[in-house]
Amino acid sequence: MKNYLIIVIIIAVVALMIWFRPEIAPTGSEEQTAEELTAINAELNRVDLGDLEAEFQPIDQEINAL
Amino acid sequence: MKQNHLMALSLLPILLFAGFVSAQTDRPGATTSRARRLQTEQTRTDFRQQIETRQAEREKLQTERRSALQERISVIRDERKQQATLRINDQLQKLNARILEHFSNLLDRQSEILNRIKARVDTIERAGREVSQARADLAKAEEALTAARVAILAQTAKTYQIQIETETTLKRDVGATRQALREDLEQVRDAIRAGQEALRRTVTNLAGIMSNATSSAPTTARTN
Repeated sequence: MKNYLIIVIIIAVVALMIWFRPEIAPTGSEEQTAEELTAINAELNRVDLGDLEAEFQPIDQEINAL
Repeated sequence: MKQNHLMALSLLPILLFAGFVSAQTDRPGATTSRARRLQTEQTRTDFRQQIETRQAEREKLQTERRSALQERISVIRDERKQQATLRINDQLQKLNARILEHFSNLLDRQSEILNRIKARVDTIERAGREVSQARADLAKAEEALTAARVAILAQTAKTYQIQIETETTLKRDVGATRQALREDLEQVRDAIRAGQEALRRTVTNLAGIMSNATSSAPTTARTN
């Protein structure tokens, strides 16, 4: 019965350690966060709002020919 | 006794698995991220539905106005100019729709990026860092994205009608309609750009928090 209790306690401790894993290992999260921020920044830089001037050029040519 | 040991040992992997699954899915961070994703998806669906409704209304109005233009265009004697005017009218409507579609897609991407930043702010906060500035930046970015969404919806409802007065003023009349569309699209683009800048500012400030935390860490360790 004693052994059984010890095993249950060990299981509970291991489960708790898994549960709180991110909090006791913040360094990994910080590295991931830094990488993610770099990736987000790169994605923001890739965003192309478009060139309205170029989009209107064919229409402007038609208007000038009127 | 042996039976008890066996039972306990068989329970071990089950409990470990339960703990692992729970850690992966039921942590407050994971739940919040999932809720945010669902909310973003819902907002996007609502937004697209509103756009579709307005597009349908606009297309109906455009057809009516095109018929009116075809009637009015008879004041122009030159048939080549008549055809060109109708063509420009169609091009203006198509350009408006195409650019709005592009802006809507950009807005979807910005919303996803906003969620990713929020998740990172949560992580940084859980690590014990001060994130009040980041939360304020996020709120501003969210406001900017909402304003961009409103601007796109308003623009989706607009139609552009060429008001022909006389043949001699045709170029000016068509040019005025073109200019109105251009200015309206610039306003929407500026709203999207404002959202973009707000997101960029948030990321830059967040990176600053991370780099300050990293550079101050050894100092803290020495003083302790």
